[in-house]
This record gives sequence, C-alpha cells and structure tokens, in this order.
Amino acid sequence: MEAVMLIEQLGSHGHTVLRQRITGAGTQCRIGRDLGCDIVVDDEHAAPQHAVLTLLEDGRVRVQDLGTRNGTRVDRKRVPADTGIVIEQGEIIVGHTQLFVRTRHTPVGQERVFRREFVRRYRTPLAVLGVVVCLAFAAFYQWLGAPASLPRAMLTGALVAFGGLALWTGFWGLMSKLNKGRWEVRIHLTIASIGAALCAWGYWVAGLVAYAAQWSALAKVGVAVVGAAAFAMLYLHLREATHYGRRMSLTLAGVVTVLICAVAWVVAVGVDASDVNRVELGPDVRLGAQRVVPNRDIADYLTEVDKLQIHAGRHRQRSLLDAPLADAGE
Amino acid sequence: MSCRIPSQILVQSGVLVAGLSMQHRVMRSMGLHRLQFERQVNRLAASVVRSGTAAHVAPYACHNGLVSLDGFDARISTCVRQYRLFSDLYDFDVTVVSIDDPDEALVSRLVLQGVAFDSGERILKRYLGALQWKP
Repeated sequence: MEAVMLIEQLGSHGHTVLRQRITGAGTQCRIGRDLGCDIVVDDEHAAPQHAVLTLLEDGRVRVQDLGTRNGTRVDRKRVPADTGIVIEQGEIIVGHTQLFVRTRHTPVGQERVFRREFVRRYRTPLAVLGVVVCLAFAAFYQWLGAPASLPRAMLTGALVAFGGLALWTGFWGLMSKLNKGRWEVRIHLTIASIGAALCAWGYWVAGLVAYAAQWSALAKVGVAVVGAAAFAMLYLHLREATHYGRRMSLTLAGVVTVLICAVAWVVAVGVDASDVNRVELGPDVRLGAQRVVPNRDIADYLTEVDKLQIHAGRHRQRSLLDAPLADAGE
Repeated sequence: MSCRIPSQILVQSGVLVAGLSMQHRVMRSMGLHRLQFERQVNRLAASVVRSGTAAHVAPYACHNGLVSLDGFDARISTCVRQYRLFSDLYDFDVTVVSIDDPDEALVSRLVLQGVAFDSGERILKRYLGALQWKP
C-alpha cells in the first residue's frame, strides 16, 4: 500500500485552514516562510526554511528541524536538531503555527452520530415552540401580579421577553456570521428560547417544590438549575457560532455561567449576608396546596426557636469580628 | 388591626429598646385566581421594612415552619437578632401567614425590640398560643 500523509494546518481557534495530502515514500514536504516551501506559513516566529517532513517506506514520517533558533516541536517535545524524530501521527509546532500530521498508521474511528441533527432538522418548529413558551411565561408572570390593566401588562411582558430573545439571538447570529459566514438565526433562536423557557419555568416550579417539601435551600437549587441551563445554552451557542473546540467552549461557557450564577444568587438568595434587616421567611406560601411535609406541633416549633439564640450569637460574633465595636464609632 | 406600646427606652443614640408591636391583616380574594391571590399574600408578608443599623445590631437568624395553630394552619417565620453592644438584648421579628384557605388569609406580625431572649420567647409563646382565626 502506498505511503501517504495528510498535513493539516490549524487556525487560532483550532479549525483547519489548510489541508495537504502527500503520497509516495521518500517525498518531502518543507515548511517555512519562504515561498519555495511546500507549506508556507505566515508566522514571524518561523524560519524561512523551518522544518522538513519526509514520508518513509513504512508509512511513518520523519520530522527534522532545519537548524532554527526557535526549534520545531512534536507533541510539545523539541525535535533534536541532528537526528529528527519519526512519528506515526502528531501535532507539530512551527513558530506559533500548529500543524497536525496523520498517516495510514493513524486509526480511523467509526462514523460519529450527528447528535445535533434533531435540532437542525426541526429548527423552525423548535424555535417557534421556544418563543411561544417564553412569551407564555412572560404573560403568565404579569397575570400573577393581578395588574389593573391585564392586556397592557401582558403585552408589555411579552414585548420585553421578545426583545430580550431578539437581542440575544441577534448577538449570536452576528457571531455566527462573522466566524462561519452564516447567520443561523433559527438555530440560535431555538437554543436561546428553549434555554430561557427552561430557566424561567424551572425556577417557578422549583418554588412550588420548595413549598411542598418545605425546603428553604431549594432557592439555591433553583439558582443551580438556572446555571445549568445557562451553561448548556452558552456551550451550544459557542459550538454553533465559533470554531472553538469542545474544551475551549466548555471553559468559556463555564466562566460566563459563574458570572450569571453570581447575579442569580444576588437576586434569589440576597446580595449581602451581613444586611442586618434581611430576614428569610422561607418558601412562598401556596394557599390550600398539598404538602409533602406535615405540620409541626407548636411545642416542637418553639423548641427549635430556642436554638435561634445560638445562631443569633454566632451572627453577632461574626459581625464583631468584621467590624469591632470601637471601629463602629461606639 | 395594629397594636403597639407607645413608649420605648432610649439606651444609646439611635437605639430604642423594650418595644412591642403587633399587626394582624386579613386578606380576602375578590375574584382573583388562587395563584394571583397567594402572590399578593406573599408580597404583603415580605413587604415589611425593618429598621436597624449594622453599627448596633447583628444580622437576623431565622427559623420557619408550617405549624398548626388554634383554628388554622400557618407558616411561622421567627427571626432573632442580637445587639452588638448590649449582648443580653435581642430583636424578635415574627411573621405568621395562614395557609389553609385559598380565598382568605391572615398575615400577622409580632415585633419585639430590645428584649431579653427568655422574655421574647415567653411573649412569642403566648402570642402564638393566643392567636385564633377562623377563615
């Protein structure tokens, strides 16, 4: 079988910008800035004649550095200047330019199922569904407040929700257009609207569960739910709109999610734990609703109230450590 | 219905103690949906503005639960905070919200300002024991 190697030059986002297939044992491929090279790199940290790849009889590739000052790296290890290195596949760094070499020795995996095909195929009905569910929540939230003018309040809520979705989708559509040359509006609208709907309805349902189970900490779980939905949304947007790989997308989505969670925490749990006028009344009451937790006896409740003296004492100790009395101007 | 002791003791500039006030409010739904009505009830229960500065008092410690009272079930939220300089004095802030009836609700509040913990607890016990309401 004829020896063959495939050289891919990767861009700054990890996407392939050049692909070159070379066949025949003994064939060489020169890499450098010189226009006489087989692969010309636009990289000021690369030498005019930087490295040479030679296809061997056995199908492997010899990588040799041509005596450069910055050197050539294969899988992050510097290539010895005299002997070079023989590889079956690997990442080659020339200056700041990243290349990837594959040969017949490189295992070829099975066909991977395109997981996002469902979203792509049904993007229009999914986007419509997501927008309708978002608008329904906005209208429902306005209706809950029992406003004086219900149609006007519901219209305002729906317009605000629609405006938010339009801005968010427009931003990611623009990112898509700049990076990939396509707007992909329906895909981004699907991701944004379904993500937002999950956040909104999920948070509301979390409130119902919090009351039924009398679990005050569920507000914090609600924040986690919002965070998870935001993370998934951002990850999918990044994958659709940029050339970033999985790891970079996960990292960026994670960083932004932490910021979103911080904001959600401030809204749901309270901005300042040292606020002396903040009280926690527990989950909102649901009048006449079923409860998982039975009522307590008044005597049991008062026994638990007894422990508040210890907790209040701890808060006082903490406040004295944070701001001693003398410093407080007393 | 609101009641309060009309006098308090000034122990330090800006620190009034030995205060007691209570307020009972009955809300009745006039054609509102159950979800709308409970939103109003929750808003009312949470809408109280509390006074106190970080220089004089520590943050509240709270405990809440669903409790059977005389004639109705309620969510009781009891919050207690200690004074920073006068460590024997505490503020009590108790909010009771009835939870049985989807069309009618009682929102009751007891506030004790600058009292000993034992005294506050005794008043709370008496208040909760005496609180009666038939929706």
